[in-house]
Amino acid sequence: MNDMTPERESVAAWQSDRPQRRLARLTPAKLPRGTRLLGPLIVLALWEGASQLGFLSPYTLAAPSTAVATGIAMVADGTLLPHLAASAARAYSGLLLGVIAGLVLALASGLTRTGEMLLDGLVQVKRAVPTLALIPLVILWLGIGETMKVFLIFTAVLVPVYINTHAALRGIDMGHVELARTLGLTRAEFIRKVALPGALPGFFVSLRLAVTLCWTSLVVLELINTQTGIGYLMNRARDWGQTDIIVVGIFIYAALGLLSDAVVRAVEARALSWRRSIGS
Amino acid sequence: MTPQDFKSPVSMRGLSRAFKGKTVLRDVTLDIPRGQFVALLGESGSGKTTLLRALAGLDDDAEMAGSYSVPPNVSVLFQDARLLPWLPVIDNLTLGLRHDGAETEAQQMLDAVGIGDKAAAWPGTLSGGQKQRAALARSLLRSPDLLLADEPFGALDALTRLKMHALLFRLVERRRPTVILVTHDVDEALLLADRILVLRDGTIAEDHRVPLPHPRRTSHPDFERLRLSLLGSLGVETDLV
Repeated sequence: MNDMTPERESVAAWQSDRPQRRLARLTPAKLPRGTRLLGPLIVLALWEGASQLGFLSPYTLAAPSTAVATGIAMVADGTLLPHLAASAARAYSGLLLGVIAGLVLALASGLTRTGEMLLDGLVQVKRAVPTLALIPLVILWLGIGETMKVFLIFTAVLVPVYINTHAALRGIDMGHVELARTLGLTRAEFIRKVALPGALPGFFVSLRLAVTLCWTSLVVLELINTQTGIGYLMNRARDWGQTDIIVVGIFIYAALGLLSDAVVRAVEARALSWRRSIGS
Repeated sequence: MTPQDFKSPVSMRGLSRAFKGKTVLRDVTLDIPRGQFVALLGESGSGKTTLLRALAGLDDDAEMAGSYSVPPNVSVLFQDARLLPWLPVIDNLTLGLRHDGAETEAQQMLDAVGIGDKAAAWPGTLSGGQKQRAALARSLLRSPDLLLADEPFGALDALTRLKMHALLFRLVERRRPTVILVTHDVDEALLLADRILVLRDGTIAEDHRVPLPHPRRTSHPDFERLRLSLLGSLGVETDLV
């Protein structure tokens, strides 16, 4: 025992003499709350600074502060909210229909052979055709009213929901399928306990794409025969050179995009709390 | 197969399987009495897993000849625990069970495998050994007449594996299902099995009884003798080291 002691001491010394070897982290650490906004805030600050110092003429681009003031004035005199409501009604009814249809088609195509034979090719064709290219035809079918606008948002939203959910259903771990078979699960139990929860992460990815896509499709559609909507406001402002109102519109889109994404992320974090992955 | 045959032990008659024209299992004829603990040894590619999966009713798209019969109540224990990550551990155990009281039985089974406190945990938070305990609990909760285990401890560390051997043996002793255990580990086979089959090129090359009483000790001279002989059968030259 006695002649062991010096050796153990020397081992300890050898260890402490060397600097601890630190492994590379490789994946980024989790962000503190709200720090995602840093990039947009820096751009806003630069923009405001450039406007105040006179580098940016209000005829080229209104300062963010001017736009905020204009926005507040428009809310106060009641000119903004009806347009926002009209746009939101179009965007979200299209979103709702598109998510439901995309989900139903993905399930039919992902879980049945007949469904995949009939549906997958069709959706892939729809994906290759730009929404803008459909506008003339849809106007001939549905006229130039609300139905046409909601229909086009619906078809735009449907595609990413279908693609991501379908891919997630098809990517289900074969090991889990074998397990379900050996446990004697019925087809209904398999879909409820294995297929759907397994496809949920893919569905949430598609939902995050869809909540912003429904608004981006809307701007273009609000160029066509309408007296309401954020897109209409922005186009009228262009005719009169009111860059502050255009910026108000851009701010509304940005705020809605960030907000929708945050809502979907929050729901996702609750629904997928079993998952421990990078940044989630 | 008549219902009479299902009452009888596991049996195979001229069972062959091929994948894309490549024969993996060749004309296997085998009878296993009720309650026997059989270990299947063999080098990689010898057909052990294919035999097990055939009995489990998996790989049914493969080309097949011959016939087999198994009892109606079969449980499979895979090498990866195959817990569904989105279900808490206890819900993984009761998956597909429809009778009342399944939850209580599942909790008792978790207690029996030593992870009673993990019932509400997500599978992703368990260690490898705990996952395999949960998978074992899921298999045995179904009170199988036949337990098919495909290298269930192959991915565990040596110490955990020893604990799992004792656990599996203790739990199997209670109800004595027929067990077929596929393994690479000669010691594992000798510690647990009543009978050891050595597969070579898709056929049963050797059929050994293990006459050692339980509890078995690896230091027992008979154990060592059987061990050397089996390692020889598997093409391992033990005097090289």
